[in-house]
Amino acid sequence: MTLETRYRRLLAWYPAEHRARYADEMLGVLMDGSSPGQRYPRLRESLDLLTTATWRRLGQARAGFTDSRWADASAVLGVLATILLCGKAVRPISSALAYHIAFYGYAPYQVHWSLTLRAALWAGVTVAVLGGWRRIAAPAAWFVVCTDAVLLLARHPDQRLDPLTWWATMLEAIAAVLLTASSGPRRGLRLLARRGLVLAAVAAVVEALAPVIEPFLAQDWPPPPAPAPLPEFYFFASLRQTVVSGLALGTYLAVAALIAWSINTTDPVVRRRAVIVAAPLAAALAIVQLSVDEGFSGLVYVLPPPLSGTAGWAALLTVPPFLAALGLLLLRRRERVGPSGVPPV
Amino acid sequence: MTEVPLREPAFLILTALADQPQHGYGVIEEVRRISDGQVRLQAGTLYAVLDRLREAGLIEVDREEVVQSRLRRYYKLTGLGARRLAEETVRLRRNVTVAGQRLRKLGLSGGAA
Repeated sequence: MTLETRYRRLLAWYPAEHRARYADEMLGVLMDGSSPGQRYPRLRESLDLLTTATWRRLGQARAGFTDSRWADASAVLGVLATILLCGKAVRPISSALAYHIAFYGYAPYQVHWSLTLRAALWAGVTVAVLGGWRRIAAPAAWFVVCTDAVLLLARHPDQRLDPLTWWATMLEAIAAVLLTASSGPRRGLRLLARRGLVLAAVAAVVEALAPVIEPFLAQDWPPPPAPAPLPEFYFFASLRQTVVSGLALGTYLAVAALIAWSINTTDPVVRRRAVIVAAPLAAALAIVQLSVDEGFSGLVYVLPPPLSGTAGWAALLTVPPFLAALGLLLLRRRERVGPSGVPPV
Repeated sequence: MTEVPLREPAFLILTALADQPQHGYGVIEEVRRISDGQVRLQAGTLYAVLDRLREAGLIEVDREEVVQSRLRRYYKLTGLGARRLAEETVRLRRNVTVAGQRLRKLGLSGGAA
């Protein structure tokens, strides 16, 4: 291997853009500075090249994340997350109302105040987002996160250290981060346009109202025909529970499809980044749902959750980071700047 | 003056280019001469600084040549670069003057400057 080849290998550490601009020139400088008969790069110049190449890459990565395209993706996801969380906050209220009506034949006079409060707060954040009020939306979302955390601590004083108890609050915190890091809800609304917003609204309505059907399918309602033989009782109970679980899973899939469709309506450059952020979050959400007893309403109620214990944690710690890294790699390849300085379309 | 002071490699590179356009290796040699052999720029550092100076509009490409099938790009100071170098020289001279006065009080030779 020649000295020139060894220098070229060192220069390969630089990002493609820097190499395209300076690599030939730098190689000339390095060769001009070499001694007759020299076979290896000097230690000092090797370290210098590796250090400056690393700094260059780090600087590029930082610049890549702070550019406006990521802020736009964050704006889109911030709007979608807020609308969905509003639907999610309404969901337990519609469920409570539906169960009460199914059992007693009339609506309750009131539902638990904490449910009403959370739904009202998320409705407020949604109004701020849809109004495009940037200075109100993000602080309001953080206020809801803090309120929810306090309520959770008050409700589960013995489970403070269990992160799985906090997953819903974590989702809210992620929405608040997206709104904070975004280029503003007004920008997100413009990027989604009417079609994207309608799809998101439909997803939120599906999410909020799907549990209304549940009481009519639940194992406790209607009661099995009495006197039913025991095997028949369990068969009907199991069948009903499977239908309920299927309904819950179907709701998640329908919401995911509608949100994916909504993201698909945005500009490709923003869409790619939105997918890179949303895919690990969706994976984390699915893993949590498959890890806890109440996830997907306990899919097959006689079995433990499919990802219980260590398997759940292992999946949670590996799958989302892997998806994020894969997405970034694919994005980089897709948008690599060519020799002309123009990224491929 | 609100500009951030230039670091030594940037100052020396601008000084090297103030005389005439230079290619990369020429800049390294010129900086070594200016600094009396104290500063020996490595290629990685040189091109990191050249890139920053170019982005800031302080230098620009003068011409390109191919010598022994290798690219040689000559850089030259821009008007902005010359003004920036002049401002930096005034700032450093002011610091040197103050340091010299104080060293003279201590009776040290550094004050002779």
